Amino acid sequence: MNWNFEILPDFIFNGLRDGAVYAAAALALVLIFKATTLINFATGELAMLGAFFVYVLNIEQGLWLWLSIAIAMLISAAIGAAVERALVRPFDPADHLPVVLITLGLFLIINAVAGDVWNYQVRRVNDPFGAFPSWVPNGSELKTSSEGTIACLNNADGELVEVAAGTADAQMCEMVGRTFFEVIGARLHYRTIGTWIALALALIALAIILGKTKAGLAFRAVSSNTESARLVGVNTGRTLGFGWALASVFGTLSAALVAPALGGVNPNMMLTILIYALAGAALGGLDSLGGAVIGGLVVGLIKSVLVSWFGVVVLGQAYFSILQLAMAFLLILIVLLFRPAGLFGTRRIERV
Amino acid sequence: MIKRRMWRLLALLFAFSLVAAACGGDDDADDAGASETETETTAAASEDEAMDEEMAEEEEDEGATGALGGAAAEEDIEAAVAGEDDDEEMADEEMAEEEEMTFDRSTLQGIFDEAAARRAKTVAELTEKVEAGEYGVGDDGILRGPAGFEIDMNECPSDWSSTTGITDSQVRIGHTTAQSGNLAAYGVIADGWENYFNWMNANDPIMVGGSPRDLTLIVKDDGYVAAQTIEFVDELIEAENVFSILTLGSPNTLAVYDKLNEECIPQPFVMTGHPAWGDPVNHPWTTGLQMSYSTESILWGAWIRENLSDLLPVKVAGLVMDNDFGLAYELGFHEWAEANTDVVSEYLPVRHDPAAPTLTNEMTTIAAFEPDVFISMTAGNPCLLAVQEAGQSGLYDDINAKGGALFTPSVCKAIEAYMKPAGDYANNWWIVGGGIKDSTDPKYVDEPFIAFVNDNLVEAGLDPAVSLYATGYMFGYPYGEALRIAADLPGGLNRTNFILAVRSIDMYHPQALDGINAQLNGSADAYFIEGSDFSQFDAGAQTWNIIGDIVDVNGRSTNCAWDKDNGGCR
Repeated sequence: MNWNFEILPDFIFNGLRDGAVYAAAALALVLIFKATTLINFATGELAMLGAFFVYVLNIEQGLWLWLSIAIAMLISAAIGAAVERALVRPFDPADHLPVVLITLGLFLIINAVAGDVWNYQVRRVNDPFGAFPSWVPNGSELKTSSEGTIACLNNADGELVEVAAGTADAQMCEMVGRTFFEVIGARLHYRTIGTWIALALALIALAIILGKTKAGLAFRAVSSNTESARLVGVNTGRTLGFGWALASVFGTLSAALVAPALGGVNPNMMLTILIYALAGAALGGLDSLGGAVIGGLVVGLIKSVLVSWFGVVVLGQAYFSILQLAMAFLLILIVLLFRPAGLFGTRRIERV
Repeated sequence: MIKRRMWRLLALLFAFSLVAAACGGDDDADDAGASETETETTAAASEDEAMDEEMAEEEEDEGATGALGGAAAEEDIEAAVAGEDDDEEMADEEMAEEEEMTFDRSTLQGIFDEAAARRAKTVAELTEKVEAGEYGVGDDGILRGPAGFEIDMNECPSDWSSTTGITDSQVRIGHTTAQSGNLAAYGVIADGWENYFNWMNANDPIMVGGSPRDLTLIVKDDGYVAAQTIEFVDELIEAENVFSILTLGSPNTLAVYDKLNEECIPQPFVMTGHPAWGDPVNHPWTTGLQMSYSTESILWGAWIRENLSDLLPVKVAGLVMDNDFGLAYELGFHEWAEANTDVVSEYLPVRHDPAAPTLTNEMTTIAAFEPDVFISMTAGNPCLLAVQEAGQSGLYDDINAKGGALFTPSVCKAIEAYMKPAGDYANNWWIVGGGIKDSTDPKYVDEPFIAFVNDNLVEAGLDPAVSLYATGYMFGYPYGEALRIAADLPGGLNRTNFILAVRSIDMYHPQALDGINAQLNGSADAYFIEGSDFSQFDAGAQTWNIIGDIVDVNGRSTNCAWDKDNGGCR
């Protein structure tokens, strides 16, 4: 065994990076599950659609990236609510099968439509946390390095400037052009930190919406007991629509944040991610928002540290690298067998 | 109640996961039917174990017989790379050819005139042999062609007909491709191909018995899942009654080529470079088009020997897509590396799940190995991820600092799809490019045929910035040429004439670089394109710059009867 601890931090950071992706997607899954106690298989595809809206607004229309994300979130909210109203509400909420089938159908339809509209080529998107943004004062981007000098791309005039290595200018140039911090010899990408901050902010926002607003209260009432909520006068239909809208908003945010890590947007971007997200959600508890985030993180870390670092590097078994997806399934299975409610989910107690 | 419901839901969830896994992961596709993830991984694992060092000796023995089959002889390639090729001989051949036919390749008309003249030449040669009873189906039921090419037609199914798929108005051609899944980007190749056939139908149709027939494509989306390909091929044969079938993908084509050959259905110019398609004896109805992955593997090695002499022997790491496609590369380079320990000191192939959304861990593993050369042996979206992750993991900087090299495979040449989105990290990557021009490359957009392709796409409302549409023309053009030759042979267009035409084709392919021959010759030359450029990517100009000479070892690749069980050529 080759305990190569030197590169362990790299794998931990990878786990954090991938974990952020799964956590964000798991959050969207859990929101729908809380409202309806069913898994929305179209979660990933709705999120992908949202990412394409960001692409259209930001890249094609030239809007500011964060504004594009905000608008895309609003559009997605409308779509989520519309899907709930048109396709989910007509069915008996107690009968899950038709609704699950509908979400599966939606999954296929949205994927095919997106493929038809945008084709399956990956389209590059701007990275919200890629490098220091160009509006940072004196911002310049590291372009290439050669002996003794560093070529900096100056953002102000787009010119390549040669600066001597080791000078303050060069340090600035390197720092600004980089996309990561170096921590104990490993690369901690700005994207990883940014995505986790964005996720934390989203969780706080979600806690406020669900805890402090009337709509949130209704949502909690419906997710706790639909029948009772209806009896006390909560408009359950509208509340479930609100839940779908909220889930679509978070789906879009997650897809917009992860797209750069996948090379860009394309109709298949969320396919496999959804499976890891499901594993994360199952682990954390399908009805626990915090659990989804922690579950997503754990899945990311298991993939990186257990499978890739321990399996491939330490044990020296190269084939472990293709077992990552299998590990996600295994995790789902283990959780379902031994702790069906997940680590942080509500245990259902039935009284006779 | 709730608990029971929950269980049911979770069971459904698990079932879905399995389905998704089966869709995403690929299998070895030896037999009909889907294999589940678990069997897949164990199969892969055992295969991997077989590659382990402890078994290396055994493998050496096994490998020795089939070493580097499906590629040109190593010395040929290396001599060509080193520029020691028998240039004179080649030059003579070329001169003789040019004396014979001089056409203006700078105009579209000139290109089409040359195509017509070359076709006429092939038709005349074949017709003469057919009339003399040397070629064609003899009284003994054997179809004979050039260079000892033979098919025993007595073994074809009893209800087989040479004209199946040719109706009063159509020639029906079946195509399975990936229009969904991780490799869905390749699905648009079918649209480009169809667009070229539409152009042919409208402007210069195939004539059968004096009347024009429309070439009609029947396209099925197999999502790059071999089990689906098997189903769709059955459907194309039994329900769609197609004349011929074209498949995309190595695992997919391997899964059906036995059947298509048993059924005597032409399967020329398949969209994969697996070495198995050069097997005129056991699989006479199947041919490839692009440079074989085995040749590419040798070319990587030859390039390293020539260009990294200061670093030799080098450590090489490969990122391998874990299916028949990636393993063909892995095996090809593994064999070359074993035979050339003076060039490659260590070789680490890291396999990845074809459906993996990110490749962060694989690339970190590779970066930790600190290779001098990195070779990406993958396809589709992972092409881009490999370039991007090489940058983000630090591998790109490390290798460049050492003066090593990073290679992306020939199937990842598309600039718009796989290089441009990676930004600056795409700069200076190398490719053994397979001798093909990218239709979005500024160097070629003004060439007459490329301009024709791009204009044609615009007319059809397709985006010429997507070079994979033009790849459809790359496959459609020789397909059309072979159909035309077959239509002019005695007996007109039918399956036996078509395969005869394919196995005799000798054409100028305007989408191949100058110096690359596009030729097949019966049993002697079973690989269509056997040459390549060595190019380096310039991210500033978004173009592949050809560095050094074009290598072409036309006609010198050895045939390959692929051993499905053990990998490698028998």
